[in-house]
Amino acid sequence: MARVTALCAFLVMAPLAHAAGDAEYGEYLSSQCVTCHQASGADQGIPSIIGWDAASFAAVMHAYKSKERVHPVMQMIAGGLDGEQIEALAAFYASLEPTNTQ
Amino acid sequence: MTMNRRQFTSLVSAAATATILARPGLARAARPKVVVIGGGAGGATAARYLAKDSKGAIDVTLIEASKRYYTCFFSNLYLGDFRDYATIGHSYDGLANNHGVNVVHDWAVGIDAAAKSVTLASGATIAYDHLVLSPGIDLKYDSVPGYSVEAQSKMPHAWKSGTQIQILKAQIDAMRQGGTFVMVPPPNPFRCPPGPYERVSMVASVLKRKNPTAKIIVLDPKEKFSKQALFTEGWQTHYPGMVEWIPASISGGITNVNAETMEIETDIDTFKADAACVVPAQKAGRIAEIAGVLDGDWAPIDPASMRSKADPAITVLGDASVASAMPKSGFSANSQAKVAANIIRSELTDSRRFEARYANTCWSLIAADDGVKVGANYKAGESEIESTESFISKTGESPEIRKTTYEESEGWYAGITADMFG
Repeated sequence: MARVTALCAFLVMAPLAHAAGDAEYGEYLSSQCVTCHQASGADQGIPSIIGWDAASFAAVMHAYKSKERVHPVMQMIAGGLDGEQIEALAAFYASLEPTNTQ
Repeated sequence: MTMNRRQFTSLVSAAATATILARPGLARAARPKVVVIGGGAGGATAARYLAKDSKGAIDVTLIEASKRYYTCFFSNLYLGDFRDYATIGHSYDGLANNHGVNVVHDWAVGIDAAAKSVTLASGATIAYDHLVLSPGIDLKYDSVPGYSVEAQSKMPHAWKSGTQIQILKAQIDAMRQGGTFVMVPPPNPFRCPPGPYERVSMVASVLKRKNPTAKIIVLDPKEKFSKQALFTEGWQTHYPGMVEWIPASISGGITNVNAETMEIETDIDTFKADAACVVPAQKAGRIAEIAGVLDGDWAPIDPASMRSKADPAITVLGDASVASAMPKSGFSANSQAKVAANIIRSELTDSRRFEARYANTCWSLIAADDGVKVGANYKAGESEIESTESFISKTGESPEIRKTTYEESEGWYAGITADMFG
């Protein structure tokens, strides 16, 4: 069902490929990211992903998923996410502003 | 003051009018109530997410006796002089002021599951629609012959938050030159599988600087341990000749510990310790037993929700739960709390419910800038939580990778404590 939905979204929205991300689902999924990628945008030891534009976010996650981009933990995490989940996360993170700069 | 009948009648009708006018207030008072017992990685996170994500639609109470929470995770770094003690302490102000959590500093001592109420040590009772238990562990002191709660100030376990880690640090720092530190790790299953070996590494780091002829003996009831190849390589690299790890198959196991004489007896030898850390076997925090959710020492849970198998109105998080493939760790408890909070909120407020996804990563510091990690993703299997993918640091990795791994852990610590208390 998710695959059919994603395909329809692609066909209908191809020019706006990342507009379909379910940001509310992305917020739930992001609870798994937040202990490392801090919600404040602080980047001590781990880069900030707050406020990345959705297209870049999705591209990087797909690059980890295909193992084109190298980082064992991120490859594992991206490998556990399907396309719909990556779009959801991308939509959520794109909607955020860093709350402090450190 | 006595009143006449006319005064009484007008008082009653005034009260009735007040009640009718107050009806909107009654509706506000009917928010669903969640009580969380335990303000650590599981409980604080659950309370925060329930309050924050429901935007106040859920009335959240957190019962935690400690007024300031000192994390067990990173307490080894304090032991090794990599962190000041104050930096691992956290306030509950954020939960109370930012998210409206009713933080109650008291002990839960009774649970009436039929009436759905919690009794506090002070005598007050709190009603709940749903109860979250995240009580951590209690120690089975007599699992190590001769050990007891009385012995813990001479031979600290330092396996629960409090003054224990500071006592242990003072004892390490005061060891005579060339003395012996004895570490007794616990049997499986226990909180923080790599923890005892990170502790050995941190003590070794201190001794290398301050007491280089001192020795460390590890008397392990187990035959193998988490990240063993990495720790063994690290001890050899950084602390050659200092650390001797002895499994039960060689020592025969501990036959007695004597906190007065500091002697630790095994089948093969008696070790005289100048400082010792004895970590006994563990069980779920006592309130979980009182709640009736245990099977033996731990609380079985539904893997898709962390719901107690014994009571559908109770969720059990973190160390106290049987999370199968997930280790007992702060990271795991925080991960489980967010799955549970989403599900509890969906049941109480009709918000969206998403499927369980869990994760854990354990970082360990072997020496300055030499960090290792092990971790995995998990899902809800048919009957238990199962690992999906995993990763672990490799022996022979470059110093740059190990430094980066350590620096990640510092970022994670800031992230998880903000996620728990922010």
